Amino acid sequence: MTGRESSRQVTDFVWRDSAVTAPFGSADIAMTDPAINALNGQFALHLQSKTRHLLVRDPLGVNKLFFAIGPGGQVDVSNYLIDHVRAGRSLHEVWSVPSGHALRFDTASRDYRLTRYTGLAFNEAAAPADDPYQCAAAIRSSLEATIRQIRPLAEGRSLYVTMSGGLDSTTVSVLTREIIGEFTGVTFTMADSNGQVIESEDLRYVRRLAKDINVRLKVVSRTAKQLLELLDPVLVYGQDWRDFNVHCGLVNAAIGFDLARDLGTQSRPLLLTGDCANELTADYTPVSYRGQTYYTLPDLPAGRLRRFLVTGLDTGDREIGIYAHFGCDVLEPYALCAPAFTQVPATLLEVPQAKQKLMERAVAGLVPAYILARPKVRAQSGSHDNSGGTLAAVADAGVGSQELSARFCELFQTDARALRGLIKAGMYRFSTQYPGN
Amino acid sequence: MTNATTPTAIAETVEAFIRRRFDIAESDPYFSRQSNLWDEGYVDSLGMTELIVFLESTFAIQVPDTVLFSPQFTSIDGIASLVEQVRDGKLVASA
Repeated sequence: MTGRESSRQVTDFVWRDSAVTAPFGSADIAMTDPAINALNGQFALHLQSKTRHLLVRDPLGVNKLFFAIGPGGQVDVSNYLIDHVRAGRSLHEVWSVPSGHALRFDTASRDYRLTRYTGLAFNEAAAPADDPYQCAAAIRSSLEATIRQIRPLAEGRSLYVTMSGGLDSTTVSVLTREIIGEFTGVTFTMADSNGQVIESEDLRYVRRLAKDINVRLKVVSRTAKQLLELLDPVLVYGQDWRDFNVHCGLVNAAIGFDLARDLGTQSRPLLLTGDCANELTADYTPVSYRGQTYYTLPDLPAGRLRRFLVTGLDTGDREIGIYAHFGCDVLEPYALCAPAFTQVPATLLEVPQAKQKLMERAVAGLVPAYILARPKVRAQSGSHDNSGGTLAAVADAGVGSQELSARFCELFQTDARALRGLIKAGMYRFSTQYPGN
Repeated sequence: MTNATTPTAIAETVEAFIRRRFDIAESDPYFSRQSNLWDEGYVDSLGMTELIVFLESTFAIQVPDTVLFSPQFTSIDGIASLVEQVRDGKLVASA
């Protein structure tokens, strides 16, 4: 990457009024915040006209956007932090554009303006007593509209949907089958030390679902040792060292690697995933394994936690960044439906089995009963038949939080102190004034 | 909610929360209201989230995202000053 150059390798998907927009040109640098707010999708834009720059990130920050301004006013922009490090910069010199924000600056005048063009409204009120789940209809409608929006993008491309056997990915799978048509389901499972696929409970459910909705299924597997060989690209392109995102990223790297190998130089495949549903419904809990606690969370009730989990999508690139590195485009339908989910009253998130109760109503008649009846399964920690998951594979190899952050520091040529300054409250470091001022 | 209004009173309230929540001993010789809470490892990213929730519920404010990486938002004294600015309407959360 050299100065005055954009190195954005992640595909932008932008809709305006439910239609895919044409690519943006330098004339669009005059876009106002209301005009930007009319856009939806997953995008990290960089528009330039002479010394003026406009950088915009999608409402949830699904696509990442990092920039640096050199002493001579040269501007480097990339989806990946590592591009800046490889260009010889330290992390202290690199800044993020926060999710839902537009950044306008001029390297000649040093004018610099960061504005929030959109904000999600989190419903912190109690659910209405007469019809507490009336929000479920809006979720169903939003999910269906989103898959319809995606349909034109899938034409002529290899379409995949990641399937885990859980509620979130099953909902996306079933809607995609109904609205778009054929696709290939792709799932990950651990292999034993001999390389034999472990027929986990998750995999049995995935096979059954694929058969029932009549889609092909591709099973990707790795032994624990093979999975750990993917750690460096996961840290680099997943842009995070925190355990949950790394463990998710390992699975995605294995899938991305295999798809890239299978498809060769054909056009970039398009994957749809069930990611972000857990953030939007605050459906996370820490996990205990061999006496250690993983995936720690702020100690907050789910109704309040949701805001921070969703804000926290600003950081970590466990799906988009990793898949893009392997040449795959990813769309996250739940992220595109965020406004419908943030309108769910906080009190509905604080009942036992909250997401199941909500989604049962949202996807009634759509998702098979045997999926709805499954107990919550955290893919990273394995099924309750104890077949293990990525957490076990990583933890048993002695790779814990300290090892992950230490390796991240090595790869990004930084230290633990700089790392603490890179992410705060789930957001990458950003500046409200011209860097260097 | 608290009635703390002066920066000193706000700082006392914030310090009490941080000491309690992050197990900081009264005898810790390195900890003060000027300590850099993040650089010196007293509060991590998750803890920052809990601190924000505490500030919002205790002082009836909304902490703007824009302060997260502000040099002021690193010490108890700086945080107390920011809380006062938000309460006085000098800093607002962008909608």
